Amino acid sequence: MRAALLVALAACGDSAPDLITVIDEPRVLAILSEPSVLDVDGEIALTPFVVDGNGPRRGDPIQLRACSPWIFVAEPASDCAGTNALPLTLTDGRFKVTTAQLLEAFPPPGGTTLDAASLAVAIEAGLEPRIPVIAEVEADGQTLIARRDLRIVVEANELSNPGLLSVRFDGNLDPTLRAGRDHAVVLEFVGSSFDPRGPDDPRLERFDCYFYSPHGELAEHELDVRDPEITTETPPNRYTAGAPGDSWLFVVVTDRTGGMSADAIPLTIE
Amino acid sequence: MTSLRATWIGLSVVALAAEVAAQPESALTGRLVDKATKQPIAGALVATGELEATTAEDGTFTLRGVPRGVFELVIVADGYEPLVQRTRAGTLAIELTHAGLSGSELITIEDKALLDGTAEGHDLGRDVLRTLPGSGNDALKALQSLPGTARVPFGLGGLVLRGFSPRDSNVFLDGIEVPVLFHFGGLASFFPSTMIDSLELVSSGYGVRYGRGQGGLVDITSRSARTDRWAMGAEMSLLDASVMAEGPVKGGGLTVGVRRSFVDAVLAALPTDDLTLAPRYLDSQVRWQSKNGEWTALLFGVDDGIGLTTDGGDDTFDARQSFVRAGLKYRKKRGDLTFTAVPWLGFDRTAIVTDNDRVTRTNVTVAGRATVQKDLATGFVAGGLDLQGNRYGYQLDGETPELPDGMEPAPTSLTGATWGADLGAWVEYLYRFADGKFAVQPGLRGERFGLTDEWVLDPRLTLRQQLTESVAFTQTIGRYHQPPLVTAVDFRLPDEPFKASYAWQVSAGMTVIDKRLGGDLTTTAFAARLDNLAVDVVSGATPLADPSSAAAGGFGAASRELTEENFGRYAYQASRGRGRTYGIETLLRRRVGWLQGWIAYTYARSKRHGAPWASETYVPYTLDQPHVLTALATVPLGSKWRVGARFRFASGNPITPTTGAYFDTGAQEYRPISGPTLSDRLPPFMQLDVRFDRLWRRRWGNLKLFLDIQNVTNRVNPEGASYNFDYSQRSYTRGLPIFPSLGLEYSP
Repeated sequence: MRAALLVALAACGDSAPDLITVIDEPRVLAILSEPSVLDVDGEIALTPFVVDGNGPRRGDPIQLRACSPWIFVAEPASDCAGTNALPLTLTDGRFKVTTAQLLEAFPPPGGTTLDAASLAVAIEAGLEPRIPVIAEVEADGQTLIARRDLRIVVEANELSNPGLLSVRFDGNLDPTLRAGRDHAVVLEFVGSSFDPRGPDDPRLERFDCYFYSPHGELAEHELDVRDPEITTETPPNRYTAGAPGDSWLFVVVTDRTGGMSADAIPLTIE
Repeated sequence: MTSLRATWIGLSVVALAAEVAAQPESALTGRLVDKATKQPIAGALVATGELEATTAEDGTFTLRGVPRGVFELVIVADGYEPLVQRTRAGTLAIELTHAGLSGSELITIEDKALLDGTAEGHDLGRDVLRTLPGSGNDALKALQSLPGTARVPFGLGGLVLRGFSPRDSNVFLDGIEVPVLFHFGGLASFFPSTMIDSLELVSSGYGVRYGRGQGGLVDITSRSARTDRWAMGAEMSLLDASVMAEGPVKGGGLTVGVRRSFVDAVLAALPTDDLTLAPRYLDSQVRWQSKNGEWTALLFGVDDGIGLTTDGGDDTFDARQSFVRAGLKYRKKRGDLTFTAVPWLGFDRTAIVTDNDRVTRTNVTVAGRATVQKDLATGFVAGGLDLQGNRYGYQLDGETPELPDGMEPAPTSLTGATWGADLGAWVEYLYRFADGKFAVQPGLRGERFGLTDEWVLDPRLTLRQQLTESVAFTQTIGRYHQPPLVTAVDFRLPDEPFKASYAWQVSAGMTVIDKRLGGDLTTTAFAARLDNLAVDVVSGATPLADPSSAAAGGFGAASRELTEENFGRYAYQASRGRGRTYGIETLLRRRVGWLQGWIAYTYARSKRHGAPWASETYVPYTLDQPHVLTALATVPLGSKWRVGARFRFASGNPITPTTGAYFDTGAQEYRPISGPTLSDRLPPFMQLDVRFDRLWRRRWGNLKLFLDIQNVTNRVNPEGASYNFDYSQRSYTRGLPIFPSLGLEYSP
């Protein structure tokens, strides 16, 4: 309501151009997880997906911390610090944390305690706990901050991350594109990676797909797979290839049950 | 009090009359009336030689000791052409003619600083105000040029007086409370300037006669119709067209008028891919006054809308506000006793429709004011009653507001009505002493507010001292209670009763008049402390992530301030806020040859405390503008042309800066990281407006062409801040570009 009124009143104002799809400096595009959500009695492994104009980055110093689910995290620096933050440890190249560790670090307000069993009961009763995770990546002299809110569910193994099957350019798998030309980009997903929307809703969830590239222009930042019972593909996104040379297409996909996936597709521009 | 009422070069004419030779004594009595309307003219100066008299309410005057034989009589009245005529002792009937363009004076320097009138007020004539550069021929918009008034973004309507919110100040037309001063979008005021007789702006510190507001006051008096014959006037500009007719009817005079904008039609005809605002407004008026002036009936209404259209877009936005007022004023003066009563009825309707929401509100009001005043040799004693009963109907469909902790969600559809009756009773006493050089004016006002079920008592006091003929001081102190907006109690917190807000106001002013220099200077220091202000209970986002919040500042927050009275906040609120304002304002007026004008400067600070994001410290109010400067001048070019200019400077409104951003991987977009709340400001506002008037006098009437150009240099004034996708670059929402208003006005 209020937003609509303000949009109307501000309609004659200037707005900055949307350059979010252009990767011209390091960015943390995703915080990938395995499994897709955290089980009440399980463990999750997290990996930031960091890219720049030359592709995925590796080796940057990274710190991850989980935040208390009991306070509203608006400003990561102040709201996810001290006793409201749990630094995650790096094991085998991935940051891991268990639900038990989180429950111990963040006891509910009021002095009560919560274990896996009682948390499961609370979730069954309607509680939807989410754990904000903050990633801080030191890249090229700047600190990149990213956030992902992890769901805690009773049966995590019933849910999956979006599974990217293929990326097609004008109907082909070959990522060799013509400089300055428009190309239709379509993402296709593994049908089994679409989870049911909920225990009482057997329809399949939809995917939100986000596109990025260091060169060229993408017509759309986001395209959805709205109805996976009909198609597991996105509508075509128009990509105008940039100057000849090597380039990248980055895609990040989120689903409605808490999953997230990302991929980097090398492109050859002729 | 500073009086700016226009007169017609009277002072020099009076001086000429003093040269009439004295002869043996006799008396001259007479009655002064408007030539067109035959209405009596009160307060006019009638003089011959060293003898002076002021006409009474019924236009009559008596000069004793006039010379025998023929002598020259000089008559000067506000808004009329001065009259000098040769006459003899006896009885005289005199008619004065309304002045046209050439005689219109921007300022008039009084003889002395008077102790009468309302404290801290600016009393302005219609013709003065509506012809100010930058006012668009609208008297009420010109109020924004006065000291103590903050600038409003985009030239939108709304008065921000001495750091108070627009909703804190009330508007009365002939004693009838008006819900909004300006049409939606602020393009024009609700009442046509041609039907206004005078208006008074009191930034703060008014007496006990008015209540229900903790800020300032605008008191408008409508104009009497002519009673000699029917005549019709019209005005057309780029924004709207209006027509007015007035004339005699059985028992008195009648005025009818209607005005309709056509901005929406123009915008609709322009092809565009952008979002387009299409404001529209309609107002109409009927006014009848009895021949003896004791009865006045007034019916006026407004129907406004603003729609959002996009070519092929699917956004829906339509806002609409309407109100109607019908009142009957009775004023009877018998001896030193004056009785006034104004019963009135009101109907208000606001509606806003978006893609997902529909909010409709209807208010029905039955109200009345009654005043009795007895004039005394040393002043007056007065008392009165105000009564207002309201039925607030509402239908709210759509998303529910953000919930406070522990609250059950409100239903997505709410329909119902709230009843509230407000009662006010007051008594006031003015006592002058020491040959009228000192005055003390205490008053007490008690009120009951139905919405909050409260009884409150507001004492107010005004002191005045006239040290010399040209220097006067005024001090005021008082408490002012204000009932909450009905929209503030849509969603109530359990176990926390909503309370009326109030302000303690103090002010101290000085007026210095120097006729020899052709100028005067008024300076007033003021301060106020506000309590029980309505604040949002929930604040779940960073200021920048919620750009319409008061914590974000800038245009979104200012828009919310200006539309709150119409549409509410749609949030859980509680009366937990506090505020304080303080500052000093000064108005210097000068006349140098034909050039005349004024400079108004205000230093004011206004701060708030108590919202969740400002619970530990005071932060600047959304429209806090420490420095506001207005300089304007007009000069006549012969008898047909006049040119004027206005320059304004104002500090930028407060905004919350960004210190960085983080990437929300779930939404795949950046979220801002806010710096200290409202610790930054938009760049200062500067604007130059010019105005040209050309008058043609013909036998069939006067034709006036005006061109009023706001922001003639097309300067880019930032009104709000926006950011690029990762909040690394700030850009500004541009304010009003060059905005010409060309109009033609016909008056018979």
